[in-house]
Amino acid sequence: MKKFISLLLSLGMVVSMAACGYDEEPDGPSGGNSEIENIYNLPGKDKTELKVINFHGGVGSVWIDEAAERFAQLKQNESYATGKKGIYINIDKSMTPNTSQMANSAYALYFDERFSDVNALAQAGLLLPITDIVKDQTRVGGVLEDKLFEQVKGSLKGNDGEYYGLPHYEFYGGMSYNRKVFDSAMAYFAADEATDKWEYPSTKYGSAYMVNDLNTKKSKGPDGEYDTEDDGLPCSLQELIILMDYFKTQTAYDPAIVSGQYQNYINYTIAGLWSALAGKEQMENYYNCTGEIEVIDYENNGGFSNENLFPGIDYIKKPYTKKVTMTESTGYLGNDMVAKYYALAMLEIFEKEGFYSPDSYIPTRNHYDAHKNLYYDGAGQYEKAAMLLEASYWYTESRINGGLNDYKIVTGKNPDNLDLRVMPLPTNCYTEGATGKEDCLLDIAQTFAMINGNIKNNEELKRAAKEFLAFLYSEDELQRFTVSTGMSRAISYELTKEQKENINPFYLELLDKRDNVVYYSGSTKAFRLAKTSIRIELDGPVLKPGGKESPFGYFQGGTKNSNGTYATGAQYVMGLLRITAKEWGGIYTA
Amino acid sequence: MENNVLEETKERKKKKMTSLHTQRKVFYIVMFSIPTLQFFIFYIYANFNSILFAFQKYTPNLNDLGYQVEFAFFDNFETAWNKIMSADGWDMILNSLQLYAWNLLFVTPTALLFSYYISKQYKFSGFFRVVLYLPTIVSSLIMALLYKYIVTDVYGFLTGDKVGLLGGTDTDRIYYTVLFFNIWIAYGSNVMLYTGAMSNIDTSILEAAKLDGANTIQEFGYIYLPLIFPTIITFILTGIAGIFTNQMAMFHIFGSNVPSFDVFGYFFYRQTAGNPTLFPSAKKMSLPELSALGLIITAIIAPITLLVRKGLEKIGPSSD
Repeated sequence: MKKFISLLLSLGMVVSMAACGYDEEPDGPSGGNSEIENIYNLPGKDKTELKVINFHGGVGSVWIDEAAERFAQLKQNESYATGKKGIYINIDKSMTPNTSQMANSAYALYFDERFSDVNALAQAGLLLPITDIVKDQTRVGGVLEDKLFEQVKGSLKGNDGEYYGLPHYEFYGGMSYNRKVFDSAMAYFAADEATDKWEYPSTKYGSAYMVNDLNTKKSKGPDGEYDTEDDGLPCSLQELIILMDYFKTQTAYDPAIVSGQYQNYINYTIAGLWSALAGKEQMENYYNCTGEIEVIDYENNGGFSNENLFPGIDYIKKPYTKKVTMTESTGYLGNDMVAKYYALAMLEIFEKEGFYSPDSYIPTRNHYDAHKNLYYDGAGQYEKAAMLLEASYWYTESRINGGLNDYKIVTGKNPDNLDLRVMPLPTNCYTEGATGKEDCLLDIAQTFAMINGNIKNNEELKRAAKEFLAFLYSEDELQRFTVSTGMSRAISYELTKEQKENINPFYLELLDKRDNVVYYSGSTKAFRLAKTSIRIELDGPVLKPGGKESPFGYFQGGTKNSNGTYATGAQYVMGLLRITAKEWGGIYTA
Repeated sequence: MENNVLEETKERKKKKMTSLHTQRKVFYIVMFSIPTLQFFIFYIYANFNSILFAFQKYTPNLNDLGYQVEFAFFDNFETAWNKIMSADGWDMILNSLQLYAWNLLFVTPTALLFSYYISKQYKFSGFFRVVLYLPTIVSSLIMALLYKYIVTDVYGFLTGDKVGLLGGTDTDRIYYTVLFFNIWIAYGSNVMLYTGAMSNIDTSILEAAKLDGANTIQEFGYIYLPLIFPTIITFILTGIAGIFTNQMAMFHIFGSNVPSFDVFGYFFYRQTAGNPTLFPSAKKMSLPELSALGLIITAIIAPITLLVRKGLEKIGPSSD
């Protein structure tokens, strides 16, 4: 018996370890299989070894494996220390590069996601200044500092004015959709002047004209212009609700899917809707804590009327709003933005109107599963969904995790024929009087490259780390990075036509919208003092009510109070997330 | 002459006494030095930063690297206290207390009974010993994952309820599913230690009890319980001391995706693991505030633990 049990346990351990594996399938628009066989980047006793830690989610590690091989080849005869020749870039691929332990770490170079804050790490003396790389006048293609997006520079510096980090990749929160599903369901709104359209009455949310077939002229979409990518997509939250209802009642598709294991991914969509509705100018004002924004007028009857915001929904009330000009002393008002309330309200509606796929409630379904709900078309164990709540990195993550290959195996179809896209989000609350607005993309990746400050007295590693970093941010490597991952860095660089052809269409559209990106960065004193408080990202405190990871629970039955009642709803969450004048006073002093 | 011998003997005795006294002194010093050293290393040194942090306020220098560090008086303690007294704080306290109550009132008595059964070597006692201890051998992370899949996928397969016991909107159901896991997992260590303590009971005492005509219940109540009571006290006390650091395996089960209930252990873990900042922010506790919270909790729980120990030693069954 004991033997049997110990055998069982051993087997369990082996299986559980195997489950931790993470196979990458790099390259090609939908993934092929080009495992890298290193010829030059190999360990050697007489080589300088540079330890690098790379956040393995998001864009994965193929890009850096390939770049390291090229760098090792380039430096095969270079000596970084007496008696040594060549370099070996030893890359650790981790989901948790813990920068708080940097001081005692052997990693010389870090590529980390939103968990790290370059400015805060620099202030603590943990980073090596890299101003010489950023201001290098000899760099081929121009000085890097001139190429860095102006807006992002603030987040790369310490308060001594030196550069300590470089922007890694960026992604944006929101939703993605399966274009083929939309086409087959003819789930597009028709243009006002279209003749071949039909009125969809919806269950209770008001009516809208939909296209009768794919040749019907589609509505202008969120940007307010015809013949653009977003034609026929909802221009307002009201239309988005009708679209969701349309999928729920008229098609075999569930309207939306979010990972059951990571329901906090709704934060991505809240951030996306918030920025789309507020627009670029207001979001930049938000981070700088200055300028005009539209907020809920809490002094007017507590901020909310008894009027319903949308027809057919009686639990979302219309807010009283006003425009205010923030000063640094009143930067806390940014969290009263009405766009944020609308975004929260939409997520509450998704929940309460049953717009999520049942798979969204299975706690063992992770984000890779949710991706499959979007593109498996009902194959396997996945209910089919038309829209996915995620950030734009998901496609790369799904590809490198083998999701698209699995698709090929399970359905027998070519993943290159899938048509998955990032969804331009509504820019208005109401359809009536809606004005077109350019899509505002909020960078919620906030990823950086940094050199560990603990190598400052090690000339060998210091030189190697700086040279490798400079190499990765050369013009050629920037282009290669984007071709490999589909994602861009907040640096001005162009891709050739051939390079663009190698990028999946999912990301191509986003590359054309880089002028509309708002970065987690600011130039004001208020930003430098309060940035942690106002940071918008998956774990940003402005999206985490009551210490929870997301408002998801508050949109369900609510969260149980100690008196047995349940706290619930967007209005309540908005209140929980407000920053008070007193709290602001504890952070910012003029 | 006689006087001289007497003097010498006295002197020798005195020397011997002094030597004994010195040896005793050295012995005491050595004995005291080890725990004192432990105290300094594992409490003072380990907690030094925490205590220091709790009274500090960090503000980043605006024109240079580094921070201005000011004495914060009790500002951090005020923030921490407000957290405890908030609705969330009370919820966390109640959830932690509920887990402890289940452990105390349900796990301890039943584990004692099982241990008694095993130590009496009744039928299948060896099997019970292995099976009950099994969850403790396997990594707690793997056990939690296993449990998660059982109550989700396996449960879904058997009942048709795909959402399982950890999904959906029924907050109470999710809470009790997690609670059940903690109770289940607690059995292993309880049973192992109790059976260990029971096996140390002198068989002559048991034989004497048998000769005196003690039945099974009397044997358990009058022999076993009093003799293993120090082990029970240990469990009760470590349980109390860990009330607010026990994270109920929630990180293993939910990751960082907090369900609609929370406990302080899980809260602390998330706050400190998520790259906490030195300087204050509006909705996230800074390291100094977390340190103050930790000290407040220690200040609450330490005297309770000591009082309970004293009380139990007084009112507990005597082994005499």
